[in-house]
Amino acid sequence: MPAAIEIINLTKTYRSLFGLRQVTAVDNLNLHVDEGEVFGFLGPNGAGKTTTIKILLGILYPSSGECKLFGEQFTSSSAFAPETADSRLKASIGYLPEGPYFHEFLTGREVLAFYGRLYGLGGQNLKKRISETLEIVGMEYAADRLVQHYSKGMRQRVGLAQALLSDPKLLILDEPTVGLDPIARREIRDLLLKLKGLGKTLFICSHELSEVEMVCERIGIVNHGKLIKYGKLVDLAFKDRAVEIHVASLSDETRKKLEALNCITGKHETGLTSIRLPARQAVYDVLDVLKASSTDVVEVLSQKESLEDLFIRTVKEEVA
Amino acid sequence: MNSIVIGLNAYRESIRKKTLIAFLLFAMLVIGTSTFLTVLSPGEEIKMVKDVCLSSISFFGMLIAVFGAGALIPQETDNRTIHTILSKPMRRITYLLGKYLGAQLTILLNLGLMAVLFLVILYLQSRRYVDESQAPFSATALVTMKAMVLVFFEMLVLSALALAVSTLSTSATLPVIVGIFIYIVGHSVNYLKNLSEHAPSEFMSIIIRQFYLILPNFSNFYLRNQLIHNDPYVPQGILKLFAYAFLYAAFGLLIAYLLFRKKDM
Repeated sequence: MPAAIEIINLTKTYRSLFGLRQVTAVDNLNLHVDEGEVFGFLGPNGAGKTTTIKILLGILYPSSGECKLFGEQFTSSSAFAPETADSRLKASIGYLPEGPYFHEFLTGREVLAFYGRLYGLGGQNLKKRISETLEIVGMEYAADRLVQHYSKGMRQRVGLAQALLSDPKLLILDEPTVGLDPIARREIRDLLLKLKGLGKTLFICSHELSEVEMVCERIGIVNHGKLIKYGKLVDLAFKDRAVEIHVASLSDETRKKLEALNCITGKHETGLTSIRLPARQAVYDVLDVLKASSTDVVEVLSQKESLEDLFIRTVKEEVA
Repeated sequence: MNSIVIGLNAYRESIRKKTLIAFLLFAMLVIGTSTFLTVLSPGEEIKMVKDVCLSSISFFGMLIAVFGAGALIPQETDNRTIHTILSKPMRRITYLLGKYLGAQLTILLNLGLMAVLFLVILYLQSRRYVDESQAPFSATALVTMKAMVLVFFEMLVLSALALAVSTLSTSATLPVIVGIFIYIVGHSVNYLKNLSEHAPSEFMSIIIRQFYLILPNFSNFYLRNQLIHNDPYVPQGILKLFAYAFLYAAFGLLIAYLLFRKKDM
């Protein structure tokens, strides 16, 4: 099965008018998102996330490298590349921009009708899709109000509705829960999980790391345009994290053997003896020592790192 | 199809713009009060009305065309609506043509309203100053309509060029300035020819001649003399002028497309 998104050696450099100054927003980025996957694309402000998204959507053009969507080349740095393939592939993408802005003179329903027509929808089919998406995002009650009277959260919901209009295979969501109250945030999160259940591919760019942690399977962290962490969330969160083993008691001989393995032993607040392992790779060696000495193992605790900790640590390490 | 969707939306957006509404109101005010200016030229009242009204329609039509077409893309870039629109399955040429279509609908509506008021004023004037030597109102109306059609042809060209410049700009200022410049120079193209012949240096002569050759000659679209004399004959022929305007507009749109096709938004 081809990847939903494949980014190959993507570089985007912004140049000033006479090329005197240049800023590399995306630097040789490689990324692979499978079909049906929920991928979190993270990074601090100015890391190159939105630039990457815009390239994926054909709003920006890369300086070099390429993007493939569902196995087909989508954007190219070539000035002569045809637009036709881009146009066809765009039909399978739904996009929610960060802080979506709509024509103020339209009502929510008219906004959806406008974007629906751009997808080639019309007549009863368009009306049906508008009703369905309004219901999904919980905006039926305000659909006939002018957008200029909408709150930030309401605009966000209409933005999500327009992204869902064409029932796309791939959803690119830039900060989907920003500006929403906790109830709406939960509703959007549930909706994303529901979309995931329907087999949609979700590419989520967000600073709400707890949301990402709950929804995404894999993440990529970018900084200064470079991909600095990439993989399954569960692997990244547990990788290189300390393991602590609690035992009922420890003989001096076993203690010495454990210290030879660079373990730190001590008294835990529960009265048990704790053994802190230097790295999770040492867990089997330590368990072998404990088994040989017939030590009573009470629990083995693997300290999982939250996505927020992982994100901050990764970015700080990269800066250092 | 998508061009029509974009065009209708651009039209709905444009007719709500305060600047364009202000231009229309000013134009209507000038046309409506043109009858009071007839005191300045006793005996030539209708001529005076025709002169003032046609000049106003051409001038305010130009402002509506350059402000209308020139602001469409920078405004959508500024408020980032363009990102959502361009992420939809549509080629950029479709977007551009849609915007151009929207600008034309806006211009047509405004010119139409101004033309109707102009005809009403002419009708009232023709009843007030009954002159046996003057042609009947129907003849005046026919020339007036022709004059309005030619003003629209001129706006086809101006709005296409303003749209082309707007693809380079982040605000409406540059396309508006360039549009007004093209309008002024376009109406003075015949003088450019004379100027090139009497230029102080060969270099200046070449430069001015290039302007003369490149710029559209808008005086072809200005039927002042025919309108004043109720002469329905258009020397260059309406179809020829349409082809002339169409080619210039197509050139403007081609430039717009080449600049916009791979532009980072």
